[in-house]
Order: sequence, then structure tokens, then C-alpha cells
Amino acid sequence: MWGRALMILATLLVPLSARADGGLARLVVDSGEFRLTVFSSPTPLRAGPVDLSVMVQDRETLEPMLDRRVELRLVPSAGGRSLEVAAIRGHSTNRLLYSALVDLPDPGRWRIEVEVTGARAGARESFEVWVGAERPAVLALWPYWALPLIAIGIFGLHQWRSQKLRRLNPGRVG
Amino acid sequence: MGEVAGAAFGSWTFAPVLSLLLLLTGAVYFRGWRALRAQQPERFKPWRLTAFWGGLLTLWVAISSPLDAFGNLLLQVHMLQHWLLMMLAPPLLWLGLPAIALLRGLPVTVQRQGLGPLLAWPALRRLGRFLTHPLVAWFSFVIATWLWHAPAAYQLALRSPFWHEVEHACFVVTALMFWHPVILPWPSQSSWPRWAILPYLVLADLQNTAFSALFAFSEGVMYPVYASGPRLFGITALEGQASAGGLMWVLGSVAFLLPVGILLGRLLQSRGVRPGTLRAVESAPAVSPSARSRAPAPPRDLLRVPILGRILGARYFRRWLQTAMLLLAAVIVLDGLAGPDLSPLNLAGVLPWTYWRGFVVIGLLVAGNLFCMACPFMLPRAIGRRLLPRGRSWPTALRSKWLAISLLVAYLVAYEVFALWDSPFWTAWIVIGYFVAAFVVDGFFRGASFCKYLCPIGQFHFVASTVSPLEIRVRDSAVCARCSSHDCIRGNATQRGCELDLFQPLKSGNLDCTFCLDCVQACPHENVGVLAVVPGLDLIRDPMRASIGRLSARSDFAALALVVVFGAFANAAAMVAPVAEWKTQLAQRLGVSSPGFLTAALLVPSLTLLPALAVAACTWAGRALGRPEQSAAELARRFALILVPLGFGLWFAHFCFHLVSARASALPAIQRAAETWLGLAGEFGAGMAALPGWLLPLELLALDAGLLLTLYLGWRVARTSTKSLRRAGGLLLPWGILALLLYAVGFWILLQPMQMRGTGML
Ligand code: SF4
Ligand code: SF4
Repeated sequence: MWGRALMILATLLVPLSARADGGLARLVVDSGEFRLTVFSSPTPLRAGPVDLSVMVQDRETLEPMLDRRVELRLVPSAGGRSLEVAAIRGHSTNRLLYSALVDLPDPGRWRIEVEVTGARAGARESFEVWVGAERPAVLALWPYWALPLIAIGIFGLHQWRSQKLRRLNPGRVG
Repeated sequence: MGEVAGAAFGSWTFAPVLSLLLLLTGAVYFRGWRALRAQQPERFKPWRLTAFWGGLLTLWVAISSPLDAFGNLLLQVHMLQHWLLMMLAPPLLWLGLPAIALLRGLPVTVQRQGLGPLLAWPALRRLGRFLTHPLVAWFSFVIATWLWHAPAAYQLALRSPFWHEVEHACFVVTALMFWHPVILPWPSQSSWPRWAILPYLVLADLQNTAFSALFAFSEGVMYPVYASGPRLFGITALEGQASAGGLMWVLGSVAFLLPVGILLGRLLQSRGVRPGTLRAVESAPAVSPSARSRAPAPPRDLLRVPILGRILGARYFRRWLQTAMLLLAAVIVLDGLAGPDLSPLNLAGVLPWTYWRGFVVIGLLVAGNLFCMACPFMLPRAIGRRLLPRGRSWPTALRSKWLAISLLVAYLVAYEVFALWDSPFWTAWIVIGYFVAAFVVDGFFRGASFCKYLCPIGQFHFVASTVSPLEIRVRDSAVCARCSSHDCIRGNATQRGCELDLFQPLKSGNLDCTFCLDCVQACPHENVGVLAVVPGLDLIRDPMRASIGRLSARSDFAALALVVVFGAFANAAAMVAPVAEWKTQLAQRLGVSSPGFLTAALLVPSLTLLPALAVAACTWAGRALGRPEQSAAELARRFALILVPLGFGLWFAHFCFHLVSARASALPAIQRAAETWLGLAGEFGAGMAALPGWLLPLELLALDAGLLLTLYLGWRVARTSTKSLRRAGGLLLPWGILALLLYAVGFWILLQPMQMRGTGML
């Protein structure tokens, strides 16, 4: 029955608008009184906008700590300007994470330094990541130019069907 | 722990597209359900509505709630999300009997002409039957479940948002397939006997038991990604995996075995029911005969909306709007002339170029030509009429749009050459010039000659309002046929008639209409309304229009449309960094010392020669490919108009960018003006606010919508020119290519870094 096909087609659209959260865990380390986990997205990392999220937990109880200050420093290994940014909880979907959106200008190897400060103690860790070449914006935004193409395709199909129906029922309009 | 729990439960994602889609689906369903309930109350009971809405809500919760945010940290949470998507939402949706209700909820034209030909397609029906065949549905569901939970696929989905979305799409679609034979929503019929669904469900439960046991009893971590993540709340990856298995086991069994119980009960019960009782309900026609012959509903009338209609129709409503705008214009002139010549801190820099333009395009998109309705130049026009010897007719030779087109080109060029957005002083003088011109022209000439033949802003609004959803039109043409007074054009003792010579029975579309509502007030039969129309469709109609004639015979309207369309691209391109750089290099290479001269030298041909050449080439190629009967000139005039939606899409994107990027810029300018003129001291706030993530998608979607409407209109025009599908395609092809080229340019422009005009950050 066509109703089923209609429903299936309609629901295809639904999950496509959903967004995943998080990314790849790059570093899990016990440091000072904390356990730090750093996530990055997208995977693989590319130059351009990059999401970095940090989870700060109590090393003993593993309970998330929500009142710390988290600073990120991104240093290009090839030399050049480093970037500093504060990661804050309000930015992330997951409110247990401290997140920052960083615009990485160049591909190559980058060192990411994480500094956590709190009421009594702090911690500092670093790790390296490889950042690929930036994905052209046109590719990153493909759904927006694909949408008209899909619509044109469906319209073409519609016109072909209408033409056929008209030929079968010459008296019918529409 | 309280704060942590609060933060965890506060981790909601707002997905605007998803939310909007679900809301829209819910609204369409409700409309259809209500209509069907009136005809078949036994079948469309309130619980059906609750079930369908519950299904939509479940989908929304699964995607937007903390379940999504924690899915990559805790396997059991991710499994709960999958359970909602696969086991709860789909059966709820089917219980709402959605197919007919959703269809019935759509406008009749969309049902018949839009979906009708596709839904009647035998191949699609066959596909529907195939996909919901119990065997295909069962295996698809099971295969999707197992494949996506294989470690490589599962971890791919966790790493990549794209694959995560594909995974969820697979789950929802296969689950809808799976639950269809179980619920068998009316009017579906199954080739299998009903009892066969019992083993169908039991077997599904058995495979779910095996699947869950694999998780529950595995001694190794199946998804290393959880082992390498933080042990949230002290839960190890193995513990999480075991509890995920247990969760799926219990919840899955409930989902599969509950319907087994219900179905068994029904089957046993139906043995006692007289044959035919049940079948009578089952075999009721899918859509009742009265529904089939349903006539399209009359268009909605804004003037009949409670409260709003009364306000709009009030005699002095327009006067109030104009007075408010006039006061605003006076403040802009005052601040522009005497305030600092610093655009971000001057009302003449911020209000017209950031706010006014943004609100105008939004107004055009959601309603119509609201700016002309509230035009501040009405008062000087009225004073001019009283003081000056009005009475002459506008010269016949100038009764076209050519003068206005020249002024529009001059305005667009001057805007760039003199950086008007950055000069409050000159902005004030433009407003003054406008007042003087309106005063003089309407003081000497009859009618609204200034609006109709001169005002470049008005021409922009006339063209853009062809894609607006409202139109001032007669409610019932039969009433006009009986009318002999024709007050809507002639006026009467208390109300003048249409100054733009638009005689209502012959008026079509929004061209030349200032939304003044004079005709509404003048018509003694209350036969003029503000009616809903399909945006853009007026561009492809070619009736004899009041005061305009046929558009296919009006080159000036085609030229006006082209200037508005190409103006969108030229104006937006001028503010992106690569074009600015290219212009600087070109000036150096050519040794041009005046950047203004170069800007003008580039802009004037872009607004005149380029569209003329493009139209000539498309017309020539279209005629060669489509061999239509119309003359080249007629084709050029008609096809030029189809580009309007695309141009408007870019204007909308461009002005929305300024409005949103400089949305906070009014505050410092108002504070500064309050301090200068009223002596109220205050801190100057920041004029810049971060660009929200939804802005670029909104801009691109506006451009997409413009392109699609343009192509659709082009197709309709081509189909009226020739009966053959192939020839129509040939006729449209060059115009389609032109539209795609313009779209590509627009897409590129929107991706470039743009000047934050009006914020001081150039
Ligand atoms: S709109 Fe009103 S005044 Fe004008 S012709 Fe129709 S009925 Fe008469
Ligand atoms: S009188 Fe009516 S038709 Fe004429 S411009 Fe005003 S609103 Fe438009």
C-alpha cells in the first residue's frame, strides 16, 4: 500500500536532522587529583572548526567535577601562532564536559595542552594530534546543495508519473 | 551528586530541523485526524491521536534528550536510545493510523497534484508491499540490529556524526517495517493470517534474547571505545556492557511479548464475534466519497483572523504605522545630520542599513509589502497634494518602469561607490531627498505617480512581494460582477479608491500594490481581503492585469525583475573578502586610482549588460531546443520573471546576515543618541554578538528554496509554451542552467568571510 511507502519515506528525514555529541577520546590520564579525558571532534581531525571537550573527574571517586577552570592551548609543531582558549561547560551538549570550539588554521601536528585549576590543586597534561587538511566548505555543507538536487529528482519523477497517468486517463486533469 | 545529576539531566540538544519537522508532522496529522474523526469516530478515537503524538515525542526524546549526549560514554544509555527508536516510537506511530490521516491533513492540491501521481505509481506501491512483507520486514529489522551492533560499525557511528545519523535512520526505517505487519494499520491488509504474527514476534524475541545475552555474558569488552573513555560514575566498560545486555533483554522482551499477549487475546475473542462485525469496520472505504470530492478550502483571509483582522482593517491603522515610521525617519535625519559620522554609533547608520532592510525581507517572506504599507513618505505626499497645484497626469511617455529602473540601478551603485551604509550624513540626505521628491511629484501629479513610476525602494518591494504569501484580492468575483459603483477604484465620499489604478476585479498579484488597504476600506460590499496565495505563482500567470496589462508584453517589468535579481548577487558579492581583494588587485593592474570609479564600472554592466546578455543567450538557446510558438521577446519577458525567487533568496540571506550579525548594534547607537539629544548618560554596549550556528544553514536554505521555486516556475512557464514534455525540457534547460549558475555563485558568496557592515568591523 502506498501509505506504507509514504510513511517510510517521511521518517527517513527524521533521524537525518539529529546530531551526535562527543567525539573520540584522545587522552585519558590520571593527573594530580583528577582524571582527565579529552575528546575531539570531528574524527579524523581536520583544519577548520574543531570541538575539544574535557571531562574532569575526581581521581578516587570518578565523580565528574563541575567547578574547575579548564584552559586549552594548541601549539603547532611546525612553529607559528599558538591558540589559547577557555573550555566551558555551557558550550557542550553534555553538561558534564568542558568544551571549546577552536578554529585550527593549519594542518599538521599540533600539541594540545590542557590545564585544569581548581580550589586546591591543578593539573596540566599535553598530547599530540595529527590534523588533516581542511575539508572544503562545499563538501562539509553537502546536504544544502544536495537538497535541491534531490528535490529536482523527485520532481522529475513526479512529472514523468503525471505524464504517464495523463496518457492512461486522457480525461483526467492533474 | 545533585549538581552532577542536574548537569546530566540538563544535557539536552535542541535540533531545530528535527523539532520543526516533528511539529509539522504532528500538526498535519492532527488536521487529518480531526477531519477523519468527523466521518469515522469509531476508528479515529482520541487515543489514536495520543499514540501518534506519543510516537513523535518518543522520537524527539530519543534524539534530543541526554540519552544522545551520553550515548558515547555509556553503552546502556545508548541502548536505551536505540530501544526508543526501534521498539517504542514505531508501533506508537503505526497505532495512529498515520497514512490516511497524514494525507488528509495536507492541502487538497498537494494531495491530488503533488502526491497523487507518485502515490499512484505501481512501482512505489509494489515497493511498499515488499518492504512491509513480514519476511522482508523481519529480516531487515534483525539484520540492521546485528550489523549495526558489530564492533566496527558501532564504533564508526560513535566516531562520526554522519554515520551515527545513518545508523539511526536504518533503525527507524527497519523498525517501522518490522512493526507494520504487527499493528497492520488501517487500511493495510496482510496476505498472512493474523495468527502468523505470533511466531513472528516470538522469533524476534528469541533473537533479541541471544543478542542481549551476548552483551550480558561476554567476558571481554565488545566496544573498546568505551574502555578508553572515562569511567563515568565509576562504571567500568564491562559493567556497562552487562547492564546494557540486561536492559535490552528485559525491555526487548516487553516490547515483543506484550503484543503477543494482546494479539492472542484478540484472536481468542474474535472467535466469539459474529462474522462481519469486525469486517464491517475493517472494510470501510479508505476515504469516504465526500472526502474524495472535497473542494479546495477557500483561501485564508488575514482580515478575518480575530483581533489581527480588526486591527488591520481599522480605519486609522495605516496612519498610525506611517506616523511611527515618520517619527523614526525624522530621528534618523536629525542624528544623521548632527550626530557623529560614525555609522555604528549613529541611528542613521544602524537603523536603516541593519534593521530596516532585515525586517523588510522578513516581512516580505511572512506577509507581504509591509514597508509600503507603513511608508513614512505618505505624509509629505499628502501635504504636497494640499499645497501644490496637483492635477496633471503623469506624462504618458514616462508611464513605465524604466525611470524607476534607472533610479534603482543608480541607488545600488551609489550604495557601493559611496559606502552609504557607512555614512550617516549621506543617509540622512537620501531620506531628505526622498521626502522632497515625494512632496514635489505627488504635489504636481495625480495618483501615486511617485510610488508607481519613480520610487526605487517601492519597485524592489513590488518585485519581491511576488513571492509573498499574502495578496490583496477580491473575495468573491461574483460580487464584483454585480457591482456597479466600483468604489475600490473610483473611491467614494469617505474613502479614496486605489491610487495605483489597480481595479480589484482585474488585479492579479502584488505587483504595484502598496498594501495601503484603501480598496478594503472603499469597497461597499466588504469584498476585498488580504488572502493567502501560493508564493511565486503569480509570476507565471499572464492575465490582463489592471493598470499593467499582460506581463508577457511588458519589457520594463522583466528588466526590473532582472535588476532586482542580479542586484542581489552584485550587492552580496561586493561585501565578500575575495571580491574586495580581486577589485584592489584589478585597480592596481589597471592603474585606476579611484576605487569608486572602478566599482561603478563593474557594477553598472553587472546590473544591466550582464542580465541582458544572459537573457538573450537563454532565450536563443531555449527557442532552439524547445521550438515554442511564442516570439523571442515574449519568452524573454516571461522567463526573466522566474528568476525572482532565486534573487529574493539571496537578498533574504544577505540581509538576515546583517540583521543577525549586528543584532545588538542598535543599543550603543540608541544610548549614544539618548546621551546627545536627551542628556541621558549611559555605558555604550557592544555592537557585535557572536554569529549563531543556525545562521549559515538558514541562509543556504533560503537560497535552496529560491532555486527550487525558480526552477518550478520555469517548468510551469515552459509547460504552458509547449505540450511536449521533451520540448518543455529543452526550453527550460538554458534557464535552468542560468539559475544553477547563479545559485552556485550565491552559495560561494555565502561561504565567504563577509564584511560586518554597520558594526564598525569592516
Ligand atoms: S472590489 Fe468592491 S468596489 Fe471593487 S468592483 Fe468588487 S465589489 Fe465593487
Ligand atoms: S488600494 Fe488596494 S490594490 Fe491599490 S495599492 Fe492599495 S492595497 Fe493595493
